[in-house]
Amino acid sequence: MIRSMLLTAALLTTPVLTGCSSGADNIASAETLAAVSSNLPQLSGEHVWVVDRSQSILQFRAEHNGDKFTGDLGMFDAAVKLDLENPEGGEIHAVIDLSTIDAKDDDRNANLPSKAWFDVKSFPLATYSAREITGSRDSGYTAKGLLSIKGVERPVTLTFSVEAEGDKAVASGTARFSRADFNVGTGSDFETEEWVKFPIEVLVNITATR
Amino acid sequence: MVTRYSKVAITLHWLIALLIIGQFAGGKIMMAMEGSPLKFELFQLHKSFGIIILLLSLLRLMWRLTHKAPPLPETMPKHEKLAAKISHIGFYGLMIGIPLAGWAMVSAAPIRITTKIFKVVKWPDMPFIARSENLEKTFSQTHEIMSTLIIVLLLIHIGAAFKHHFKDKDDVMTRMVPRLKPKA
Repeated sequence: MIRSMLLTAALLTTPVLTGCSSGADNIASAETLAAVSSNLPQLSGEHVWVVDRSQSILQFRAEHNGDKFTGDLGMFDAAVKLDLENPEGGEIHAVIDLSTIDAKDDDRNANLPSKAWFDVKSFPLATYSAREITGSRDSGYTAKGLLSIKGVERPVTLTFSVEAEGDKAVASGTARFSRADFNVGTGSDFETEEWVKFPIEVLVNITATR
Repeated sequence: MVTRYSKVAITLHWLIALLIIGQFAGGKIMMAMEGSPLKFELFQLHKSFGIIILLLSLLRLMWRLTHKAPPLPETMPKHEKLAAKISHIGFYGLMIGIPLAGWAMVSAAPIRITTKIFKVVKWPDMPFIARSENLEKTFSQTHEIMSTLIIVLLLIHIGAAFKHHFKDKDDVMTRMVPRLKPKA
C-alpha cells in the first residue's frame, strides 16, 4: 500500500543545502570513480552539462529505529543533457557506488553492504536513467526514469529545480521510493518496517557547467 | 571450622540472583515487544547486564574454587548432599553458559549491532564465530532453554533452602543470608 502510494504520490521539490563534499575524496578514489563513470552513456550536443563533483552531493533520508537521519550516498557520477528552455529531449543518467554509502552510524554502515541490504558484492552499483523530462525553469522539472538497485528496476520520478547563471547551473531535487520495492533490507528483522521504515528520499544537489 | 559463607560469597550470591531474575523478566518483556527505540535500548541493557553476570559469575567461580564453603550438615542424607552439589554445579554452568550463549548469538547474527555496555564500553564480538542465521538460531535457542532451566533450578533452590530452614531447621539457609546468625 505504502509502496504504491509512494510511487504515485505527487513529488515535491525540496531544496537542499549546497553540498560540501571535499575534493580530497575524489582524488583518493579516482580509479574507482573512473570505473563507476564508465557505466554512464557518452552524451553529446550543446546541452550536455559537466557535473562538478566537488560541488555536488547526493544524500538520502531514512528512518531507522526512530531516528530520522540524512546520509551521504557517497561516490557517484552523472551525465546530463538538458535544454532548460526545452527539456523534452533531455536525459539524466546517474550511477552510484553503493559501497561508499555513509549512513552516519557505524552499525548501519557495517550492515548496508551485506546481502540483506545492498549486497554490494553482487550489485555494487545503483543506476538511474531518465529520458522523459518535462517542466520549466519557473515551475521546476519532472524526470521520469528507471532506478535500478540490487538488480531490480522500477520507475522513479525525480523532481528538481534549476538555478542557472550563464554556463553554470545548480540543480536541487528529490526522488522518493520504497526500499521494499528493491528488496533492500530483507531477512526476518527488516522484511517489515519494525526497525527501518520503507520510504527513502534521495536528495540531489548538483552543480554543473556546460 | 567455617560455618558461614564469606562476605564476598554472600554479596556475589545475592547480587547475581537479583540480576538473573531481572534478566529473565527483562528478556521475556523485550522479546514480546514491538520494534521501537525502547525495545532496542532494552536489548542493549539486557546485553550489558548479561556481560556483568558473566564477569561476576567467573569471579564467583574463582572465589568458590579458592575459598572453602561451609560444609553441609552431617545430618543431611547422602543423596541430598549429592543433589545439592549437582544443583550448585548446574548453577555455575548456567550462570556462565547463558551469557556466553547470548554473546555467541549476537556474534553469529548476520546483522551487526555493536554491543556497548551501558552505552559506554564497547564489547567485542566472540572470536571464531561465523556469521550465520542458522548458528544464531542455535545459540538463541540454547540461550532460551538454559534461561528456563536456571529459573526451574532457582525454584528448586528456594524450595530446598526453605525446607532446610523450616523443616530441617538447620543452618543451610541462614549461612547465605546477610546478618542472619545461625542458630546456636
